[in-house]
Amino acid sequence: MRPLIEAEEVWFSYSEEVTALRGVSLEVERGEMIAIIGQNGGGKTTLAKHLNGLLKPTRGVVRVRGLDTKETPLEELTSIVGYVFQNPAHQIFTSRVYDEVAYGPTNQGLSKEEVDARVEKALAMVGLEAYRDVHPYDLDYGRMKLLTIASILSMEPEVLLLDEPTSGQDHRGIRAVAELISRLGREGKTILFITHSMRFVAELAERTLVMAEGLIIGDGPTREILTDLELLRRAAIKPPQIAELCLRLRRRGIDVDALTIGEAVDAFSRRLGADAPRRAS
Amino acid sequence: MGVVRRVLLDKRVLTGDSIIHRLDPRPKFFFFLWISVLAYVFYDYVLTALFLLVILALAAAAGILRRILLVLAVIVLPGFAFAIPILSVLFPWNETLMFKLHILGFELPLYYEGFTWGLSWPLKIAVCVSSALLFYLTTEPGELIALLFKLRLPYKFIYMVTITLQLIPLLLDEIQTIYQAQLSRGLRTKANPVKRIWNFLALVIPLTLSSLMKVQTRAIALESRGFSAPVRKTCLYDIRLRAGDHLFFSAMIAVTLLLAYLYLLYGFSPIVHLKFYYVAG
Repeated sequence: MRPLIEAEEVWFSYSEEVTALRGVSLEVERGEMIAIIGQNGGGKTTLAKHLNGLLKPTRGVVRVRGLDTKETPLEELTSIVGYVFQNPAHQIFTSRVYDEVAYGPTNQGLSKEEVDARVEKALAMVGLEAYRDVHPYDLDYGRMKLLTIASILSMEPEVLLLDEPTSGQDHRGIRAVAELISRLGREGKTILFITHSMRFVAELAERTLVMAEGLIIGDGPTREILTDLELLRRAAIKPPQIAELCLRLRRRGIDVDALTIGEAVDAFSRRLGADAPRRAS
Repeated sequence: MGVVRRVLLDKRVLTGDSIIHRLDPRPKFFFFLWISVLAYVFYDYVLTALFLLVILALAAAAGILRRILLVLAVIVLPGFAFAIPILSVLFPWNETLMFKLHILGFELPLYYEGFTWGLSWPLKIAVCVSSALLFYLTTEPGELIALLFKLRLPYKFIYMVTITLQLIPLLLDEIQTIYQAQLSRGLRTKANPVKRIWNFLALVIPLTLSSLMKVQTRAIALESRGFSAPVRKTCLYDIRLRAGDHLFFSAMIAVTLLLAYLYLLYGFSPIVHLKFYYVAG
């Protein structure tokens, strides 16, 4: 079966001087949960914007469900791949949470009943049902972020692209987004997210792409990527603290392998022979 | 919009090292004012075209000819395309018949007065725009601040001017991001007029709100660093008139004297000898 998204040798230049992608190739299968990490200016957002046709390759091809993004109308692509922008202020423009979430489905030409149903479902998914009549700018930043996710979920895209979903959020906001992404992943949604939070990557992503200077310099299972110190160093990324702790312990001959707190508790319990209660990660 | 962004955002242009770049900002600024006034004092399309050629020659010397031509192509060519045909036929003071066009059995009389009016005004605009760009694109922000400081303008006004120039490219980028965010939510570019107004709001409201938030943050940051402190401020940058600047000023004075002589001798149209100069009423 053909991959859901294919990028072949994609090059993209913003101007004669700025080349953001330098021959990127990528395949995304249905149901995958992929993290895109890398230094600022590495090409993460540019690549993501190619995956729903917001940007078209200068050279190379991007296909979504087999459709060439250069030849397919944007409205068709955005119905397949939903893109949640980093800054909620870039998209919120209505005076009611409900209207904000209804904007996408209305653009898809759905009936009033269908729009109602989609909005209720999306608000329930992100836990904002109680806020449907509130002004979006009266929400705290974390809920505003959830609102922007709901406004894309209501379009029921097959793929969800999230650009730095945890940036600027407090712990509660990060947990809410993490739980939402995890639930959507379990339900079979294909998800790609860009983040600088390695803890977030370790907890959620099955596969991780590492980008630097417009290239994918690493692509593989998250565990392999986050323990490849040389690769992370090239992308100017520090591994998650738990992974770093385990690596240092291994250097001292203590063989513990964990990426998250939950995994670490299990690993230490096994080593110490204790039946320690498992903590939430 | 893309052209304007390309022209305004290219920092390389601002930091060039041509003879024009090396001029003090004062002669360049006065050149912009001087040639713009001359373009409006004389009503002679050949002379105005000569002014434009002088500016383009200076732009070529500064290495920014292509950028200025790009802007002129966007702003001035449509001016010619609309003004010349429409005014040649419909200008209220049309008198002198040039020739008649025969189109689909209709006879269309074209008049000299309207033709010259349609030719002159886009040229005058071209002179103003290109001389302003010549000044802006060859003057570093620090030099601009120093220039306004030397002119003893109030500090708040100086800041207002410089921040506006800084913000234009940033706002253009912001518009692009907001546009992409709304396209992701199915914003249709081809829609009926009512829908277009709604689409316009989807861009304008986030842009206004995010700009207001940015301005507020900037204002707080500035005040926290003594922006309104009740002292006479000093300027970090210094500008000095050198031999080349004096030569430039001298050339302007010489040309002014020559043009004043021509004006006294032949009036507002010393080359083409137009006999009319229409003003409102």
